[in-house]
Amino acid sequence: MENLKSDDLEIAVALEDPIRISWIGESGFTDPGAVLDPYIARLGDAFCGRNAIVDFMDLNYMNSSTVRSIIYLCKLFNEKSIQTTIIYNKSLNWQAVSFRPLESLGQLFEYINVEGKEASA
Amino acid sequence: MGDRVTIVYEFASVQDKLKELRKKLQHQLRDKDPELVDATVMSAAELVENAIKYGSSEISFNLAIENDLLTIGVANRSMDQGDLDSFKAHVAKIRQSEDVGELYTQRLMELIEDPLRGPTQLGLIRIAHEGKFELDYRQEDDLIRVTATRSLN
Repeated sequence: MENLKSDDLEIAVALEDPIRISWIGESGFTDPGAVLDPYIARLGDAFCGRNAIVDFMDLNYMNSSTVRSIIYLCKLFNEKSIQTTIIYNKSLNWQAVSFRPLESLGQLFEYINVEGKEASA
Repeated sequence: MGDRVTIVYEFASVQDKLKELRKKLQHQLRDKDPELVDATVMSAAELVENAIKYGSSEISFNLAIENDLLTIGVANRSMDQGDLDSFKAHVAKIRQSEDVGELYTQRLMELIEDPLRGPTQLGLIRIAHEGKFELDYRQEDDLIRVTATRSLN
């Protein structure tokens, strides 16, 4: 599975067990349907039934369209039975505020778990 | 008396101007608290992105820090009447909400139903919830001026 490199965002896929999908940089897509959502769809197809960590620790910015794409990722990975742990950086206020509600929403999904972590020094 | 910093940009139209705006704001606000910078950059970008999506190709933006208040202002013309009505209702709902975090969670729940269809409608909620800004607007004929204000104290 190839990495995504578009504008200021890189999504790096490491084929480990669990598969690590790291979002790095800034995601300001105004039309996620053009690049981001199709890529997420390919991730869903590629890793059906596997275990994955989706790591947002190094994401420095996202717009609200990206939030929707993350919701799409959660829903799709759940449908594809991808046992997924979503990690966000709770040391960053904006990530804590944006991702914390996903922790409770994650309970709606059988295969999705959302965890806040402190950034390492 | 508070310090006064005013940054004014004029936008032609293009979406990648959002990135330029974020970089400029990060630079201009580099001596401020990082949480405030993140909140301001996000809120400014969301307001301008909304103006691009729903407004005309001419958008004016300004940011002012005065008397311990930070105010972001975005003005644009030619918003479709349906979009304008929807915008007004959305702002009113946010302003009247006693728990904007709950509004954010509710909207995420709605998006789970069908995440790829329809408007996201998260930007203004994020500005109030994540950015801690108070939203308001003023309409002058076909010009709509949206402001987001936050106390620095």
